[in-house]
Amino acid sequence: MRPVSLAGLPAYARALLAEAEAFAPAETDREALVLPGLTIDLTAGRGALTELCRAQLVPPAAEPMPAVRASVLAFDATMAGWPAPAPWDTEAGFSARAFDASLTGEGLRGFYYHDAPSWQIFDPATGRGVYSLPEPLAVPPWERGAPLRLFMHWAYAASGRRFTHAATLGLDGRGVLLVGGSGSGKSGTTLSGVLHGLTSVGDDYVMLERNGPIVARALFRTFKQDAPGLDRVGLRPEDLPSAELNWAGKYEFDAAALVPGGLVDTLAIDAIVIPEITGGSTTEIVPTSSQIAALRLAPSAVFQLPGDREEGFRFFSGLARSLPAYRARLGRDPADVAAAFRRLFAELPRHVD
Amino acid sequence: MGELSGHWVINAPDVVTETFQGQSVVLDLSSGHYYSLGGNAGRIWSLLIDGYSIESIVDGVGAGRSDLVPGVRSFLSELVGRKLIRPGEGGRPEPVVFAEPLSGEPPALVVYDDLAELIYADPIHDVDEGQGWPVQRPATP
Repeated sequence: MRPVSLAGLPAYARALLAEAEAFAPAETDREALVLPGLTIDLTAGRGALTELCRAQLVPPAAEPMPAVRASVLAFDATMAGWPAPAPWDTEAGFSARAFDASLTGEGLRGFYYHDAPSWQIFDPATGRGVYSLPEPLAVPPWERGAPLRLFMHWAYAASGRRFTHAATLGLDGRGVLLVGGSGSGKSGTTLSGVLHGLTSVGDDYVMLERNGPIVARALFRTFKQDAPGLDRVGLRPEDLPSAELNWAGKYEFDAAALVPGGLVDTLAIDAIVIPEITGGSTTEIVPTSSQIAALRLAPSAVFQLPGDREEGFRFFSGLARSLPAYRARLGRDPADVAAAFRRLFAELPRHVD
Repeated sequence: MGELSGHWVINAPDVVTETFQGQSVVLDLSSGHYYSLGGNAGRIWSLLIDGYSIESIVDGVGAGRSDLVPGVRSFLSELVGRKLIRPGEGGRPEPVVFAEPLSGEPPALVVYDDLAELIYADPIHDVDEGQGWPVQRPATP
């Protein structure tokens, strides 16, 4: 297989899309993945990827909202007639920015995974995408907990919504975004809150939309936490329903199965909160500036997801400008963490655009 | 590098910026670095966005706080060195008049590089499966 360089990238991406459309494998799984505001028609080789999506994605809401439609054709080289993904031409070097720009210039979005070469290509104009893999489940390991996350990102961006790297906590339908880089305490704060009566629409990725109110919607049903984090909230791995240890050494578990009612479909977002692990005895939530909120929200959300980065920066900056921002100085007691958020909700005005 | 002069603009589209009550956030989409500009740094940055020339800014600073001029020049040079601004055309030649006096602190760029690995993750460097996304593994001897 001829390596792909920057010069040949758009042509390879277009050819891959066309090849997938023309490919007619003998046996495939076909599944309509009904997400909030987006239905992805997934066609994949038998088994693995479809099952992964079923396990990780939230079930369809009781009252589905109007949805745009996208399709993803996920084929792997173990399927007769489907070629192995072309490798990147390492001699030519690699720049994520140039990669993005090359595809965007052709109206496409894409991602290449270097460790086990695979391609994800999406055409926002048609809503059609291709996922070309060497083996059925050779997805980047961080995508096992969030399968199809890039296709969601590109399809949501095309419809004015945002696939967002943030956690959430809520009470009575109102919520806050918990933002910050990895290890900042987002998941631990979410778990502490949900175990003590609060709700959430996700502890890692959520969908955000802004049509007047700012609304966060659940995409994935699993939470993630490592063993020390579980210990901090008084849980042991064996307490978790069907927990699996993921690639990063964190247990992934079904949030709704652990705390019935803890994972909800939707939260109206009224604030941005930046968790800070202090190890102190009590949790204190104090105001901070919109610039600090933007610093914690926008870069981690923008740099994680290829394509549409400037649009993402404008969107997240707009949120930071519109919503009040707080720092949550987290204490050790998870019940006290939840109580501090309850006090915040009691004082927080509802956001009006 | 000689003394900066002329008109300089934000190095779009690689560099994107937003301002929040005088404090700015700047992302370099090419390098994965991002920056916080508060205080006098935010004010100088806003003047560049508004199209003022280097001479206009330096003269404006010098009129009220001549002690800050070396720091302002150094700050502007750092913006150039980090490719956050590039030469532009036209611009506003009139001297800057500061309605509010500058504080006594030299402008400073706060640099964040904790996410740069996300942009640099490439086939030439090994990729480690770090904390929630791919990060660059330290080079092995």
